[in-house]
Amino acid sequence: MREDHVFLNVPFDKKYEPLFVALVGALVGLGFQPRSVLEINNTNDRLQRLWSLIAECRFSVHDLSRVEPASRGFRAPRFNMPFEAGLAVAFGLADKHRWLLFEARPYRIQQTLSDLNGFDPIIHGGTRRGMIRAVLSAFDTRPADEARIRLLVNGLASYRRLSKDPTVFDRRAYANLVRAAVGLRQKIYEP
Amino acid sequence: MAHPRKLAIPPAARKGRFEDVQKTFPLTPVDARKIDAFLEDYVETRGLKKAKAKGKGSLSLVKG
Repeated sequence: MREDHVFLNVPFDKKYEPLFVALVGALVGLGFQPRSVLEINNTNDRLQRLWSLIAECRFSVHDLSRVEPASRGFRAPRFNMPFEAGLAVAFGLADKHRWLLFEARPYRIQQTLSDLNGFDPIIHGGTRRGMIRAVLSAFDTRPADEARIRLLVNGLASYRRLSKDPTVFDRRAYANLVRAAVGLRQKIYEP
Repeated sequence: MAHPRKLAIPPAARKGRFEDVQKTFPLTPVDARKIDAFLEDYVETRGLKKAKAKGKGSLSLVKG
């Protein structure tokens, strides 16, 4: 298990991109390496590889703010995110893995996932600023962290705009985003 | 057992070494050059220098 790795279980849709950029930037700002299923190919052993990926990470973040019916096809919600959250919770019960629930709205998760009553989700309000605050409130940060993280997230949003990748939710674009975040952190934190 | 509101940041993260980031997230030479060019440009012209100067050591938010 890597102490500085965080598994991200978040929606991969266009609307979520600014929040994803903020989440990646804020975690990298705190020194964490974000990990994601985007690193895994769609192969037959996907479930085993997903489990291995979660098991590599000391922490996981599960943003269940977008669990809603699809606009096309069967109009059924996708269950991947609650399923992955369940894997992480199971892993956390057996080992020292720590998981965090993020939501956009207060009290909604008590309705959608009542098994987790008693676990307070961290509310980001669906904004980039709110996402930064959510990450800062989840971890025991230092006073200097906030300004640096805001600067890093701002820079990473600039990178995302300039990169012109159609989506950030593919393996290559995600890798580039993380590497740009790490590069920005080094520039910002250097004396 | 509810998770605590504040989780301690492990020393490995505090050090910010990102030891296996190159192995986990390999870059093509083209992408590596693009990111380097962005970082260079960002430091010089997109606000980082200004932010550092403005804060005189303590960073403040500026628009990129």
